Amino acid sequence: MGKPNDLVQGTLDLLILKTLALEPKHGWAIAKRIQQISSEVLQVQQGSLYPALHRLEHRGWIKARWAETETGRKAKFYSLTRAGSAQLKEQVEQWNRLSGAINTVIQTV
Amino acid sequence: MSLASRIRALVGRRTEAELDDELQFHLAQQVDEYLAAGMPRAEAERAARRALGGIAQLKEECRDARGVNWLMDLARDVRYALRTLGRSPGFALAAILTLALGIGANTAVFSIADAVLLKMLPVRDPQRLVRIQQPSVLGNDYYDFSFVNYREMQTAAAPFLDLAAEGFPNTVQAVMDGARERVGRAAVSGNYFAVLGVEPAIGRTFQPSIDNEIGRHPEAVISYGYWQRRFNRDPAAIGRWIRFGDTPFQIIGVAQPGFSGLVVGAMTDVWTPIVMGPARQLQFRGMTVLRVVGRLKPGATAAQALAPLQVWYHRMEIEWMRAAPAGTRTSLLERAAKLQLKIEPAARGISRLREQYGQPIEIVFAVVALVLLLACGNVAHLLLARAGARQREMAVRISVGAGRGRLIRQLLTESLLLGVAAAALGMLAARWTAPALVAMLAPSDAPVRLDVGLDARVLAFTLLVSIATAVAFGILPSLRASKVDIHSALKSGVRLAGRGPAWQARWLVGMQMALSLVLLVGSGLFVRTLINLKTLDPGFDQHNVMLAGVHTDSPVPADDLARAWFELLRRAVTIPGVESASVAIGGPFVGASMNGPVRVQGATSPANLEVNWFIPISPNFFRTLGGRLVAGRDFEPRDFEPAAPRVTIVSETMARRYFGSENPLGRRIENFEADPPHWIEIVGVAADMKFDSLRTAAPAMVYQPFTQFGGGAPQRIMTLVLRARRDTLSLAPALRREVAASGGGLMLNDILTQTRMIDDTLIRERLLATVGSFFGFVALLLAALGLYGTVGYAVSRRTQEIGIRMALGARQGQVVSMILREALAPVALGGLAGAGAAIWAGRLVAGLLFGIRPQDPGAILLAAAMLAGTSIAAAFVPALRASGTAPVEALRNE
Repeated sequence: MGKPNDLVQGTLDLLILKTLALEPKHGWAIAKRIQQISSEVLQVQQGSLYPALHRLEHRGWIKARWAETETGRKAKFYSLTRAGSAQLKEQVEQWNRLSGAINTVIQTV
Repeated sequence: MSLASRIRALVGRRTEAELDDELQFHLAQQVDEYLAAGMPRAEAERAARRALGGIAQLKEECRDARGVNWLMDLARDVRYALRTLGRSPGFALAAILTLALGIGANTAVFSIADAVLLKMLPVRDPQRLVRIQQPSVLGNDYYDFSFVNYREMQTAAAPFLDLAAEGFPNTVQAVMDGARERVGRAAVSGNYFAVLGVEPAIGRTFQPSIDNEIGRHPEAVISYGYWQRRFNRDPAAIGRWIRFGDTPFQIIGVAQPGFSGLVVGAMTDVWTPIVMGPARQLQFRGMTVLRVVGRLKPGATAAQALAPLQVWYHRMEIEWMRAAPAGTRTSLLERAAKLQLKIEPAARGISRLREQYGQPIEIVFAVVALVLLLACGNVAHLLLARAGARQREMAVRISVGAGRGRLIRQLLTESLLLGVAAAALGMLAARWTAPALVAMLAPSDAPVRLDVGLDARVLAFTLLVSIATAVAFGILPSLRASKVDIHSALKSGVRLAGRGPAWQARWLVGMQMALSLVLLVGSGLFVRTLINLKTLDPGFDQHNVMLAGVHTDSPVPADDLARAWFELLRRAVTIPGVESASVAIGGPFVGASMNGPVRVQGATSPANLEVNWFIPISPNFFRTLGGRLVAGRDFEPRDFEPAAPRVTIVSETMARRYFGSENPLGRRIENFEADPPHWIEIVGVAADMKFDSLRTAAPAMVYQPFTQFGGGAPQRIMTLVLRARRDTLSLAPALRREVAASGGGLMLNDILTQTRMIDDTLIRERLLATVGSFFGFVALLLAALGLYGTVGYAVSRRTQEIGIRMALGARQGQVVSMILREALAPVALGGLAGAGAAIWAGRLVAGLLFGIRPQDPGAILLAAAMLAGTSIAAAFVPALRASGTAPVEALRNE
């Protein structure tokens, strides 16, 4: 099983889905993007990304196809499926509920 | 992890390659980034690798993520199951052997049932094949056709049906390169292979046109099996010569693999053209020895195809009837107009085996299926006992997080392994037993040849059975084993108490007892049927009687031939050990020479068309067979003189049929042999003899001096009946000499004891009695073992309780009776259920029984008594052992 240093598994799934919501990306780009937008706070260990991608693909939330990058290399591009979009929406809601609840707890105690 | 890598191969190389490419791409991108940041290449590559992590491990994780998991789980379950079973080899062996017995029996019977009842002919589109038969005059039986018929039918049926013909396959002597061998040979029409859609493997098959050219095509087509066996598949077989009798045939081709003729149970090795048969037979309308089969043309139905044939048939019958004597013509014509040809599907070939043994085979199948169920019951017992012993193991696995479903899956994997191992062993056993069973189906003079090899269908059947079996015996124990109370199970030293065997075990015992009782009752009925038939008085003394076929091929003058038969009779009684001799055409369990209606002189009532059997005999016939005359006299030498008046002896049944209570002696009858009629005077009445079947009533017999039969023409083939001092075939060599010395070119064909011939009519009964009682005892044994194990296990768990009871003053007898009471309750209930089931199932076999009703209370009581006795013995042993435990010891067991 993947053991991301700073992330629980479910969170990594959420981040991947969110990253792919805009446009299809290949694995390396997904890793870069997560680091970028989290202002380098979330350190995704590159290795743990791939089992997660394969798991999501197996579940049918993302799909993959091979295409050329702008540098001319063949790469595997992942994109969200319809089921993936629904899943993303649900996970975001869940996250919001959870983080809201935690915020409330932290601020009131 | 060699298993894992094999599984990886299963998942597919493409996925693997893609995974490789994907990771390589990632590395390249990362290297690019580091290079752009100014790192030297070597260092950039190292850093990229470091950032990604261990590649091998990463790949493994990806595979996991892709759901290769369940396969891996299965592999783990299998390995775990193998280890677990390996730790208790005794249990594994007992389970596998028990199951192998059941599965092996089922595989063997299935391979026979498949060959006899189910398998389609390996020809093109077998569903379009039909077989046509003509009814007998009395409409109670069906016959085939003669070559003359066949040719006419071909023309009549042409718009809807392509007809082909086949003679019955016989085992005959063939000579090839001077060497003799026995082969199965069948005569077929020229278009036989074309109509069936059987292609040649090499060479060619017959031309349809050869049927127009009688005697001009000495060609032979051989079967693929024979080609393989005899020629080792050498193409040089084509062109070789094979001789039957005096005619050599040249092999022109080999039929496609798997095809061995239309008749199930008689494999044909060599096909030769019908038109190479004796010309007289080919032109004789009454020589109805050809099976006529046809292929419906596209769009044609069987009813359409039959209509023109029916018209042809009636026209032919009417013409034939015109030749009948005036007195009977009208009633015969009326009958003939009602007769219908029979058309039936022939997709599964033609089979007397199917007609004779279809139902017995189904019954045997049911028997072995029940035995398999019983075997499942026994293995379930074993597993239930293990479930108790494995409670702690299960508790540990549950407490480290295994779900109940996971445990059930694990346990079922174990069952499946047992099932598959048993199936493999069972199939091995079936390879030996199936041919032995087939041999039981064969009468002594006509071996049955069936392809009962292990083909894909048999394999598939066995696999299905073993899986179904595994689930059947595994599900109950796995449910029980996986349902554990972790807390008490994990506390060491706590004895898992319980009153008596678990409800599952009691239920199993009941079911097993019910099944065994059904099998025991059934085998009892079949054994009684066989005994009833064997002890039946056939009306003569079958013991120490030998029957020999004697014939001549030589063109001897009529007088010489007649003299030769009498010379044979004189010489036969000179052989030491022979007490009496007679010749006859046909004979007991040989068949009749002719049957048909007779007419009584002066009778005013319309002709009675019931069938009588005509048996031409020599003097001493009744003495030799041990039959007796109830009125009048036996034939005397003077009745065999050339100009003697025509006389006959009739059987009691015949006398009753035509004369009722009147005295038949001196009355005269005729058999429509000649016009004006030849009147024959009745001089004696013989006691009834069974002549073809022990089950049916004795036929009405008309015995005549053989010299007066058929217009007095000498007979070329007769049965020599001998009474000897012992039941032995050892006189064959001496007999062969005396036959040859009698002149007239007489030759001895074969010799059989009368007992053996009668036995051959009891094949079905013997099969059912033998197989039934064998499996009846197996069932009893299995049920007893199941009960023994269950009681033993229950008792072992109650040692403590029993110890306390005895410490408190219970006597040994009380303890024994307590255990017996509990153990035998499910036996009694199961027995009752079984009796009900046996009575219900009895109706299904009623037609195969003789002299006993299916609900015979004696048979049921006997079976119940056997079951009860065995059960009490099986339960008594562990009960006695338990009660013998010293209380102190039992309590110390704690």
